[in-house]
Parts: sequence; C-alpha cells; structure tokens
Amino acid sequence: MTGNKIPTVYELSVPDRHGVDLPAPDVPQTALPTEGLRADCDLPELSQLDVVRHYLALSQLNFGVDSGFYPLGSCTMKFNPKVNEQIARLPGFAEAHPLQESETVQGNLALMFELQQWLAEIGGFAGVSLQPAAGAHGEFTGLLMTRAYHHARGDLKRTRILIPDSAHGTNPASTTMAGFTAVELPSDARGNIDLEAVRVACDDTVAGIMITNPNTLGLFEEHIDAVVQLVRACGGLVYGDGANMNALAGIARPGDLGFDVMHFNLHKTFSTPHGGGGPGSGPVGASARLKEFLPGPVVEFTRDAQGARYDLAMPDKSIGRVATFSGNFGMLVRAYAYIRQHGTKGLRENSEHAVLNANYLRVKLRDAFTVPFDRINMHEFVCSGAIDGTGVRALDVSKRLLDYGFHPPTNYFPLIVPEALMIEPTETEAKPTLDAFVAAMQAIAKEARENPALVKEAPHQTPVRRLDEVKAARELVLTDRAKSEAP
Amino acid sequence: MPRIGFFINPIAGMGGRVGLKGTDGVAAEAVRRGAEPMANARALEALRGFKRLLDNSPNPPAIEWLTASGTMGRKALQAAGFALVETVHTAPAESTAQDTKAAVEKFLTAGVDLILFCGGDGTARDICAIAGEAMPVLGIPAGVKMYSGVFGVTPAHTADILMRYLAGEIGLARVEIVDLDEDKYRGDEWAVRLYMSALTPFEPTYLQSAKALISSADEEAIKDDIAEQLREDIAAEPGTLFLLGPGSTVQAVGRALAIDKTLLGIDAVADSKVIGKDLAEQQILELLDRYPERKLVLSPIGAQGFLLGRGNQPLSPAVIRCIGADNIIVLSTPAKLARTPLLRFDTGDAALDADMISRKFLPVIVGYHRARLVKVAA
Amino acid sequence: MSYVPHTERERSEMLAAIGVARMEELFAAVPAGVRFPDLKLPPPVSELDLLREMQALACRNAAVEPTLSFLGAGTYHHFRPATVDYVLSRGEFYTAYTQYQPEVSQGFLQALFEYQSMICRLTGMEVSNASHYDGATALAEAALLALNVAAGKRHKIVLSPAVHPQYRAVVKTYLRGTHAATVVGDEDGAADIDQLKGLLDQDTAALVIQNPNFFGQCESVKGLAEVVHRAGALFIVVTDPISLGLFEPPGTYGADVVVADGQALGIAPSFGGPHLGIFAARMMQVRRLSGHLVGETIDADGRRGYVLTLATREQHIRRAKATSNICTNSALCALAAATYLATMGKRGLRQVAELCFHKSHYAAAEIGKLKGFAINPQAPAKPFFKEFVVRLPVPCAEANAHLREQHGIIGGYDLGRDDANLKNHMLMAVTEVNTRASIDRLVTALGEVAK
Repeated sequence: MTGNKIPTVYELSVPDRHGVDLPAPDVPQTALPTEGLRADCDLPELSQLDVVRHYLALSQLNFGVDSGFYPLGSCTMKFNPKVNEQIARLPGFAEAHPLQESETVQGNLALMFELQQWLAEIGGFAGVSLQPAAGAHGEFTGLLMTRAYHHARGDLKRTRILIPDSAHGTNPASTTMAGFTAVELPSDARGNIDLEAVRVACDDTVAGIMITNPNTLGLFEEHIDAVVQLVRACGGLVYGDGANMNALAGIARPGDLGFDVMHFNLHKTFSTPHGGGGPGSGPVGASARLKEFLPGPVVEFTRDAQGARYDLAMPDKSIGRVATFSGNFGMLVRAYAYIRQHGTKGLRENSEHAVLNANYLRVKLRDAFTVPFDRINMHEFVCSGAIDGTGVRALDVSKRLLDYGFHPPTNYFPLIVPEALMIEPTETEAKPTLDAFVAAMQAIAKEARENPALVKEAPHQTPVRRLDEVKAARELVLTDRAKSEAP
Repeated sequence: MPRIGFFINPIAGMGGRVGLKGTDGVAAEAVRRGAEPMANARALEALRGFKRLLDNSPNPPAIEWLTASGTMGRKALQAAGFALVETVHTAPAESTAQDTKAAVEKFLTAGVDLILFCGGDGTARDICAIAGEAMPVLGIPAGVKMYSGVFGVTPAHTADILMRYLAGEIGLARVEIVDLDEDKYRGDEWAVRLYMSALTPFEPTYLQSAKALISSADEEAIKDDIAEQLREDIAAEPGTLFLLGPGSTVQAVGRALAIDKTLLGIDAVADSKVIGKDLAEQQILELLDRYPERKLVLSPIGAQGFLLGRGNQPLSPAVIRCIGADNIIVLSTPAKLARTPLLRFDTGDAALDADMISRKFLPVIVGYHRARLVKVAA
Repeated sequence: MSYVPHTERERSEMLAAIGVARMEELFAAVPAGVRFPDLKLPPPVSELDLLREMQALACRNAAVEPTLSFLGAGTYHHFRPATVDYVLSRGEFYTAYTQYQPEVSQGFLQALFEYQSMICRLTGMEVSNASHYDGATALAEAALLALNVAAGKRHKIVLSPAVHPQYRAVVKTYLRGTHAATVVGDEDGAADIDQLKGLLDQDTAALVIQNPNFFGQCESVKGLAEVVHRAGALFIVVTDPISLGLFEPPGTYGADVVVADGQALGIAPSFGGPHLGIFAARMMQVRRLSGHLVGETIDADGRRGYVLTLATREQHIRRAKATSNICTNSALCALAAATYLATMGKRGLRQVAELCFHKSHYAAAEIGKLKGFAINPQAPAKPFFKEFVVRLPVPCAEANAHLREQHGIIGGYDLGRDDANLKNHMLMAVTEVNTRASIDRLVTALGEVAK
C-alpha cells in the first residue's frame, strides 16, 4: 500500500450530485415557517458509488480481528461470531422501539431477563442491570451504587476508594467522577496488592476497594480472600472490574469471592464486537445488599392469573438511570446468543484456553524479552518491550510488529512495569498463529540488536508511517476546514 | 544544533571508596588513602551509551560539545568518539572547585542548551550555584552522595534520559539540589540540607487515561492539581494552621495558591490567608500555641525520599512533636515518587523517627482527589 | 459450540511447553473452595439451532411495520439507506478496537474525522468529539463540562422541563457524584423559556434547552444566548439532527454546546440501543471535551494522516470538580451516521426534514379535526417539526391497545407516564417512512377510539 491518499468526503463532493432519492411528498404541503430556517446544511454531495468506494477504501486501511492476530492486552480481541451479527439484525430485534408497550416486546424482555439471570449466575450475583453502555460506564454506575449504599445507612464519612497501582486508568477517573478520592495501593514483589498496605489503609473512611482479578499483570490475586476480608471488616464494599472476566467465566465467580458489585464487558468476555471503539455494553451485577441500588429499569418476571409476563421496573432504591431506555440492546442480543451457544462447559473451555494460550506465549517469549512476574498467569501477561542498550523501546517493538502483519499488544500499561507490553492472545487463536507471533517477536529482538534503526523507524509496510502526534495536538485540525491554532 | 556543556569532577566519588563519606575538602586525604579516580570511567560509560543511542537513531541530532580540558571532560568525549568538541576552559592537572565554576561560567558565556556533568551532590551544588535555576542540568552519578534530583539512576539511564530529552520525548521538571553536610555526616550525623532548585530533564508522570492510551502530563499541571486539592482541604478546615514546608513541590503548590512561597522557608497559612513567612523555630512554636488545630505540609526533598531531615532547623524535633505525626500531609507528583519508592525520616529524634517508621505506609497526595500509599523506610 | 480451535495434540504440546500436566494446574491460584463452579446455564446449542431459537424469540415481539409506527420520543423509524449496513458489515471496521495504533487504523480515523467535520457543519459548531454513548449521556457530560468551566464557582444547571424526561433523569444521576451541583427548572412541567430565564443567576453554570423540544415544538431562541451569556453561564442545546436539515443550527443562535442522539442518522431503533451521542462545542472548550478526538497530521514521509489527539486533556478535566471517565464510546454508530450523512448529502437530508415536516403537519391537521381531540393544546401557536402532542378523549393505553389490536398500528408515547398533568396526552411522531395511507389509517383508527 502506498499511503493514505484517500480524499475526504468533502474533497469528493461535487455540487448537485446526489446519492439517494426520496419520494415526493404524498400529503398536502404545509407552508414552512418564515423564520428560523437554514439555506443549506452543508453536507457533502456524492453519488452512491462514490460513497461505497470511499468507505470500502477506508475499510482496507483498517485492521480488525477478522484481519489478523490482535493480542491487545486487557481488551480481549477474540473472534466475533458472524451468526450473532445476523441475529442482531433480525427485524424483531432491530426494528423494536424501546417505548413500545411491554406486551408487544415480550420476546425482547424475555431475552433481557434471561441474560440478567445468566450474568448473575456466571458472576455469582443477586441481581444485574443491563443499562450501562460500556465498562467505564459500569464502573461509574457501581461507584454511584456504593455511594448510595453508604448514604442510605446514614454513613456519610466514607470518601475513599482503594485502587491497586496496577488498575485500569478508568478506575481512578470513575472514582473521582463519583465524588470519591482514589487512594492508590502499591503492589508487592509477586505482583499482588500489598496486603500490608490494605491493612494500613482500611478504616471507617473507606467506601470500598476496586479490584481487577486477575489483575492487569494477568495474575490471579493470591491474597484475594484476605483483601476482601479486610475491606469488608472495615465496612467497605468490594468492587470488581470485570474487564478480565475472560479468565474467570466458568472458573470462579467473583460473587463467591466476596465481591459486592462488578461490571461485565460484554464486548470482551462475551464476544460482542468492539466496533472500533464501541458501542460496548457494561452490565453491572450486585450482591444481595446492593441489588436494590442498581440503575433501572431492569426486567422483572411475574406470573399471575393472567399468565406470565415480563415488565420493566425500577429497583427500590435505584440510583436512577445512567442511559436512555434499556441499555445497548443490540449488544445484549449478541451476548445472549454467545452464552446460549456455549453453555457452562463452553464458557469454562474458553477461559481455560485463553489461559493456556497466554501461558504458552509467556514461556515462548521469556528468553527474548524480560517477563518481570514469571509465574503461571491467567489470560494475559506482561513483558518488558525494551531491548537493553539499543534504545529500542516497547513502542518500537509494537510498530515493528505491524510490519510482520500482527496487531501490537497493549503498550505502556500497566504503569508499574516500565516499557510494558501486555499480551492477551484469547482462546480463539490456534497454535500456528501463536507460533508465528513468537517467531516475529524473536526476529524483532534480534533486529533490535543488529539493526536497531530498522526497528526504531518501523513501521515500513503500513499505509502510513509513524504519525506526528505532537503536530496533531499542537495544530489541532479537528475538522476538514479547521486549520486553527490550539487555544 | 544542540550545544551541551560537559564537565567532569575528576575526583568525585573518591572519598566513598576509602570510607571518607564524600570528597569535599578531603581529596588529598583520599588520595593518600589510595583512592583511584572513578568519575572518568562513569562519564565514559554514559557517553558511550549516549553515542550508541545516537548511532541507532534514524535522525540523530548533531551535538556541539563545550568542555574543559583533559580529565575534566575533553578526554572522555574524545574516547567516546565525539568530534565536535570545543575546549572552553583549560584546568591544571590538580583541579579545584574554582575550575568547576570557571568552566560553567564559560559555558554560560558561550551559550549552551544544557549542562551535562559527572560528579556527586557537591559538584551539582557548585554547578547550579553558577548556572542558576533556569539552565537545564543533568548529572551522571559518580559521587559518594547523590541526593539531588538532577541525577540519572545509572550512567546508562542518564544517557537514555539525555537522548529522549533531545528527541523531544520528555520535558523539564524542577527538582531540588540537596547535600549532606559532610563534616556532620562523617560524625555519623545525617543532615540533609536543601540548597536550591534546578531544572532537569525528567521522566514525566504517565497517565493512563484509557486502556492502551498512555499520555504524559506536564509536572507543573500535576502540581496545579495537587494545589487544587490542598486549596480544598484548607478551605474545609477553617481555623486550622497549615505550615508549608520546604522543597520545589510545596513551592509550586504555594504558587498555585497565590502564596509567594520560598524554596527553603516555612510559611504559615490559616483560613486561606498567609499569616507568616520564612518562619524560624521560635516563631513556629508561638503559632502552634495559638492554633490547636495544625497541619504540616511536606514533600520529599531531592531524589531519596527525605521528608524530614536534621538539616532543617525550623522544623526541629520539638516542632514536629508539637504538630503531631498524625498531622503531616505529604505531597508529591507521581513522577517524583517513581524515583522515590520509600519515604525517609531522620529528624534527629529517635522516638519520633520510630513513630513514623511504625506507620509502615503514609498517604501521599498525588493529584486532585488522588492519593497513594507509600512505604516508609525502616 | 465453542470457537476454540485447538486440537488435542496441540493442547498437549502447549501444556508440555508450559510445564504442566493438566489444564486444571493452570488454576492453582484460584481458591479451591470456589474453583470450577457448576453454573446453572442452559445446555449449549449449535449455530443452526441457535438461529432457529433466536428467530422464535424475535417473533415473540409484535411485528413492527415502521410505516404503521407513530412512536418517537427520542427513537425514530427513519429511512436507512442500504449503504449504511454495507459499511457496518465490513469486518475491518467492526472487529477493530479503538484506534490506538494509527498506522493500521487510518480508515476508521479518517471516517471519524469526516464524521466530526459533518457534525460541525450540521450543528454550526466548531468542534465535535468522535461520539458518546447516547444523547442523554452526552447531555450529562455537557453539564459536567459547564461545571468544569465554572471551576467550582457555579453549581446550578437550569434544565428546561421540555427536555426529554430520560435525559433529565440521566443528568441527575450523573450529578450525584459531583459535589454541590444542583439541577433546577424542570420541577414545573409547564415552565417556559421566559420562566427559565428568571432562574439564571451568579450560581448558574448552564441553561439546557431542547430544540425542537421533547414535545416536537420549536422553542423561541431569539436573543436567548445573549441572556444566558450575560449571566455568565453556558448555553447547552439538545437537538434532533434530522431537524437540522431544515432549521437553523444551534451554532447560529449562540449555543456553546450542542448534543443530540444520532440514532435518527441511519441507526436501527434496536429497542433503545446502541445509539449515538453527538457532542459538539466551541473551540474554546476543546480541552474540556470528553471522549475521543481525531486530528489531522502528517507521517514521517510528510503524507496526510490521522491520529487520536489531545489525550492529556483528561488531566485538566480532573482538576475542577467535574470529570469524565469515558473510554469505549460508540464509534461504529458514528461510522453509521457518517455513512448516512455522506449518502443523503445536503439535498437528501433537506428532503427528509421537509417530508417529516409536511407529513407530521398533515397528520396533526387530520387528527385535530376529530371530535374530542386537540393538537398541542398547551402551545397551539408554536411551530413544530415532526412530533406533536395529541390530547385524547380516552386514556392513552386504551387508544394504543385499539390501534394495535385492530389496525396493527404502534401508537404514540403516553405523556402521562412522566407528568400527571399530561394524562390522556400522547406524543406522536411522523417521519418520511409513514405514508399518507398509513396516516389516514391512523386517523380513522383514532376516530373509532373516540366513539
């Protein structure tokens, strides 16, 4: 490929060209208001073939799971089953209006009710709300519930949320957004939360702790029972970041580990496509004591003399709505289909193979790259991408991987490992793919020593080369005609 | 074309090898005890590493070096393979602190973008005293004491920092120049003293704003965040005395609070108003008499995590005891903490130090509504 | 059915490489007491059976014939050109993650850059982010932005009662976490713009209106921005993007932030989601915007390219009392909207808007002729766009049941659900997908209800 020379839709635009025809009005016309109208809405003018070729050309510059191996840590880039796309487009689902009377949408409500039940069963929770639109949205929701729980008990002094230093960056952001102070806890030498720090931190100002388990190093927290006990003993709640649930589904239930509230990322564990950055779906599960605080409405099932029916209802002490309607239903349909296709056995098999693949990559890569926590990991692991003395850094290794046809791992995260490369292969990748990736990584490590400039200048084979991010931030061209300076 | 002033204190580090705890003023004694100069070897290690990084870089900057003669710089630069080297100061074989000053003055007259030096805290002090607080300074560690914030962790790390700074990947941050009082140190007394602040290339605070998206934040912006938190805390506690301690972080936070805070002094704030500046021990004790509610705001000084050392006379053990260990508020940017995994206390009062150590962890304010638990060194 | 590709042989080779004998050994760190739970889930089904089962489930919903649906209130049946689903079905787009590796994401980045460009022109604003979850969360983030601009000195959001009730609910939920922020103005459902002006004071961070409002009516916005700005507050407008094919954009009448739900732009109703949050503002606020922004730049060879930019702005947001944590947003829906707008073009969107206008006015006029019915009784003089309020002589539920059971028509939204004063009032939406025949059928059916 020779570069991104694709014109923008405005550059393609030709006055008076059009892409679609609409019927003439079949009703008597009403005079338009005399003021408040615009002359022109300033959209581009293209033929339909222009549109199709434009977006097809753009798609060809893009890399998805369908294009190749995508070991982006903590993002669970697994196969998105095609049947789910077909199902979500069934008119009964796609054309349903969210404000229809419930008797006309019993199929949708039944689907949502069962998905609530299944997620509660998989996570070990008493109730689930499907409303949050993404993982971070679920975190915010869970923290508002935590706040509401303490306030409902008249306990207003709990202002701190404990967060391990390996946590996802959205955790502290969600914490501040929910009006708490984030208190970061150090990790111990084995990559666990420092238990002693938890002990010191726990007092009657702690509202709760946010735990990602397995953590972002891909390690199962070895002191999870003790941490949960300490936090609960001081009156705090335990929030689970479900981003890494792809290692746990069918293996252990966070509710059984003592978690009070957790979000699921349907776009990770349950295979709904990431869509280039959404839409996602972040349902929240809650223990018995937190269930009534869930955002709503949720779906309830009643059976009486008139028969059985599903309805939308607001939990008693609900924190309210966090989005319009009932969440990203189209994503719920796909997750439902995924769970239905797998069952208990399939979910466990997925987690097992996700863990198998990640451990296999760790042992295959540990000679070429430093693995700071070299023990049995779960669905992902972290190695250092820096090659000593060559100036080659994690980012360079990642860019060079693009030349080998692989999507890079997550870079520079978690922050506690300098030059981190976080690798999550997922269960849907076969051994030959993993072996090819290992070969590429080993080749890059060799190149870094023999010809570091080659690696530092990578990528060489992509539609564009390294982009000037400093220029982008300094000059801020955010629309096709804004060449304005940053304010 | 970047111009770098390069200077080696050839006798740095000699005292340590022969049990002298520093070389300031005792170089002759060190030589008598058989110390070998080591600074040139350290400097060469850093320069060779830097040269390798330049050679590996797709677009290496051409660097113009200004230096002093012989073992004070020129030899090492040539040994590392640098060509564009101009000697601006010629020193005698037995160089002194006067030569350091003369070389730095010539760097300034000729105009350099950064001073790279090899030495310890004493060298850093001598250089910064002339170079001032606005000239970027970076140290290759070769001394006995390296408590100042301008040093890389190792010679290789220093090379890496320099390379990334020249490539525009990292910026500058304000850090402290500190030194132990060597006379007292030799008498086993630990008197860390803060002298001034300096600008140095610094790994910034990395923020993970979303998964897989790390950005680095300007240290001054982070200090503004911390100031916002402190402003809120001060406003939330009317009638409480806030004593602002020494150091560049507290100074920056003071500036964000519109308090003209000095680097070294202790200022007092109550009800969001300044009620005392550059206070002496006695003045602080008098204020403590008047304010039953009091807090002491500190930040780690230099690169080793010292919160309280014996070098600070106004914050005497009597003052600290009176304030109470529970009332100490610690501030730091995450980047500074990244270099200081531990917090240290050496107040000169064993009971007080033991009390701090027994806490195991202290909360440190690292941003607006963000804190971090940091280990206290035993 | 599982999508795990491993053969038995590969599995053993891999376990051997790791140095464990059995799969179970990989989970030794999980407390034994909770390891390998027996989940109570239905047994798995094949792809073939799954499809059959899901089709059956979809059929448990009443079939919705968009031509016969008059339900709107924030989600609409509009025409969706075939190009949209064609683009959405490209695996290179929909199976990608956020564009953190720009070298292999130029396609999506350029599409989002073009989306930002088209949204700015459509709304008359200077900068648009690359999407939010939905219109309501975009509004909540706009309120947080206003509080952030006020830097802790202003705490009040004045919210028009004519903003979508669910949007108002979401704003209130979001502000639960923000210290000392209050929402006023929507307690009285009848409060009009002039009354809201009276609430603007030194403590007001923003005025929020919806235009056309929740009831489909156009608000009188002349001079409003000046009043809001004189009070030192921001002017936030919720809008319907389709209406912008015809009406002057909020940017023209002085809005500081424009938000909308973009579902109408080529996205299926899908029982309420996923939809698209549109968020546009002035360049002045660019460092306070939440969500991703795509910027144009050049690569190492000087060629044009695109990247996610201004990632560090989150730290500035955090400093004030308001903040945002958004990560995954609604990128694929933004791609759908971009494809829709590029396909429709300036002429197409104008046509759609005019069709909505004419058809809704025809429907309103015909229903208004029925005995016992009244159109927009609270504000008969206000212009409206594609939705209008109908006062019925019978309860809404009764009318809707009749429409559905006797005529297969999905009736309007029962406004009594949110406001007791609006019992027997229904909000009806008429768009280009409703034909004259379907409107006439609706009128006939409503006539029967009155008898």
